[in-house]
Amino acid sequence: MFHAALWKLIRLQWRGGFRQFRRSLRTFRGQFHLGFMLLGFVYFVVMMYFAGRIGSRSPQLGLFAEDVVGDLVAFGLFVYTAWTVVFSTGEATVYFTASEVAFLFPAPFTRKQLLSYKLFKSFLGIVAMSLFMSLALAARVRMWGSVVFGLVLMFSFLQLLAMDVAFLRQVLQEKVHVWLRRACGYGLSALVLVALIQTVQQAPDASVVALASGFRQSTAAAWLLAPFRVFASTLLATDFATFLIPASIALMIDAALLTLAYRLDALSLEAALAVSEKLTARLKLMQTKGVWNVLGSPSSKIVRRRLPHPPFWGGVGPILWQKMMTTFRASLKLLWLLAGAVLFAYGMIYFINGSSPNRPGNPFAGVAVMAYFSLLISLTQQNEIERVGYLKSLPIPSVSIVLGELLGFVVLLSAVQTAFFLALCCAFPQWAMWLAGIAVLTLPLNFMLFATDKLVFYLYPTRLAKGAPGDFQNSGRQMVFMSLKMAILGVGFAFAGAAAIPGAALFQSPLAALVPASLVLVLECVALVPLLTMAFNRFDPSQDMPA
Amino acid sequence: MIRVEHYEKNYRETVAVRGLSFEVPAGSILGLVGPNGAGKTTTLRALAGIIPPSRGLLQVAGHDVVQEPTAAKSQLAFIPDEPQLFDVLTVWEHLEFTASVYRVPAYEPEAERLLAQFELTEKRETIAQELSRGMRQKVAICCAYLHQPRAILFDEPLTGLDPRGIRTLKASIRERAEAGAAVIVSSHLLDLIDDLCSHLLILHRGQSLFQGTIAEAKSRLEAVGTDATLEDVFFQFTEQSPPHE
Repeated sequence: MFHAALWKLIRLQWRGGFRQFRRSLRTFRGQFHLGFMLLGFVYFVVMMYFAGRIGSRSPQLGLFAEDVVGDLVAFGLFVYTAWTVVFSTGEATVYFTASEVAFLFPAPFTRKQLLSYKLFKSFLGIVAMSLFMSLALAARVRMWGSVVFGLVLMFSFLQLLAMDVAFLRQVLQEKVHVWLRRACGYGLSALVLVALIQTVQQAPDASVVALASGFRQSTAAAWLLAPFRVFASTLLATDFATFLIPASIALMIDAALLTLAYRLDALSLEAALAVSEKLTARLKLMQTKGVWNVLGSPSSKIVRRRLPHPPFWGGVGPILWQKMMTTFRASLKLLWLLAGAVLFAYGMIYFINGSSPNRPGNPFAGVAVMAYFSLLISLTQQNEIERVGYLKSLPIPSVSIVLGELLGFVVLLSAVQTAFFLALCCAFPQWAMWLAGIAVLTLPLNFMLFATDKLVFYLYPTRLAKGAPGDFQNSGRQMVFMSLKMAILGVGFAFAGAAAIPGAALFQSPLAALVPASLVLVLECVALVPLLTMAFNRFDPSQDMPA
Repeated sequence: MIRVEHYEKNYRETVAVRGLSFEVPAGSILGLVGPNGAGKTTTLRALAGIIPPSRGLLQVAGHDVVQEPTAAKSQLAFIPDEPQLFDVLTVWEHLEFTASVYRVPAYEPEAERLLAQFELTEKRETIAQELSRGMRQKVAICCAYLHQPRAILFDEPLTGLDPRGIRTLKASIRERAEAGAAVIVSSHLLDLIDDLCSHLLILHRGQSLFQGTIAEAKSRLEAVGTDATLEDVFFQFTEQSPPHE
């Protein structure tokens, strides 16, 4: 079942990882990155532990965890299973790296041996992830071991289920497979419908929370969730007696799925090759052209989406146009994602707060989503190392390149966000002044965020890495990057905040706070341009990702 | 040694290769040429047992690649166009692993010889991540040669190699063929094919346009004259090919 050479490969990779680790510790930079990463890790563990302790001391939160977490886990697993069975394309269930494809696929291994190799490696990953995640629950539960074991069983279930579904797709004829998927889809939908009808009939005038509670107590929902509840019960077991039976059943479910995977013996090297090539190409694109190109994934279908050419403006115009076109053409998928995030946020707010417009959470949930989106999206503008090389070769002054690059993205993003904030003003008129103020600040805030990100990147270039074993410094490097960025932004926003205080205190008006704050922000943005130009000139694209 | 009969590969409605049949006897070097998308890599990958054929028979050293994949693969080496090594493993560890895959006993002297042949001895303890593309290609070739394969498949083997590396590789391919291996070299470099190969297979839109020795291919072109180059042959065949229905 497990070829000796594959054991050897695992051993060699671990040895190589440790060797890398030792080597990187020989330099001051390596030691610094490792130290930073360890500090971050300790901080995370301590934070999770104390958050758990606070939660466990609060009777309300404790009840919430005991009662609802189990249902949420079971329901989440049910949704995942239903989605996988009905909609899965069968892709990416077993991922092989490019080097594994090159060495293992043409080699005399059986499919089962390759499957065992991948399953073993992913099991190690699952154990590590479960140990890490269990830290968050350590202070909340009585049996830490049951959490680790439950998480291992749950993640194994998710992986094995997706694998079996993909293998069945390989084995069954297309017609049979479609018929089976439809049958499962209709069957599951019918059961969910019965559960919903039962719930509404029992309490027709109940609130959303009461309906949700009624749904999980209905007979149909109990049947639907029963196989998944064993995983939740294993996670939340309070003693050995409550752990043993659900853990045994969950283990048997995983064992059955594993046996089925081996029986089907349908690991398709062709499909695995296609997935590996796709992911390798994606990673390469991210490393050289930035994450944006992958997230947005522009295609030739959208060539009709065009923007007019601006004037030359000392060289800013062409760069601005090119950047805006790239952003514009790749933005549709992300706009859908953003709309989904906003809807989700408002759904949650409605669920928790109700529809009252007087609760500040209601209008400002969308603002929080937009701020978070800006933060996340700023990360996609890094790693454009090849593009920087190209930009440097252009007969355009550096300052124009820097401005064109920044404005091309920031203007489009700010336009979308400003339009959203103005729509919020109409929806929540009593908060209109504050929301309009935020709309005014959107452009300078985004400019500052993206300019800082670029500045730190030019000064401290880090290329997206595959995360080879032993490369712990990579995480440390990313953490140093983020800390540096947050520190610069923090200082900038603190000055703007300080400028807002006198106006707000004296005149008690958002406008009096807004005007000086935006002035300071604009000044900071202007000051960032020469700094960014200097950093751009200094940047050497051949020196990416120093170790 | 390598036998392909009525090989066909379909991707839904797209036919990548249709009804391809050819043989590469022991000691021969077959040049596989064709425009982009002709089906060269698909054919090599099918022979290497990575992708299954939609129809047809593929044999390596008498073993059916589909029915007896491990037996066929143990006699085969496939060197893809992009050398993909394990980043954290050293050059020697790649050879150590390869020896263990193909169960090569006492592989060390042969591994040392290959490293010396491809001027990698000094890089023995260097990890793959720190090697140039050309060197990575050489490591992949050393690993492929280690188990003395009876069938060797090269996909664009010269990419990234320096002039000395190219000379060494060409010499090694000839040596392997003289020792009885069947070799397929897929390349867009027609000079390489002309210089190295004994036989030629021109693929276009998944179909074979010509099979035979290089001399036969050149002699077919009466219009071009007696001093026809392989480039003339290639364009003559591919440009006369009827459009795909």
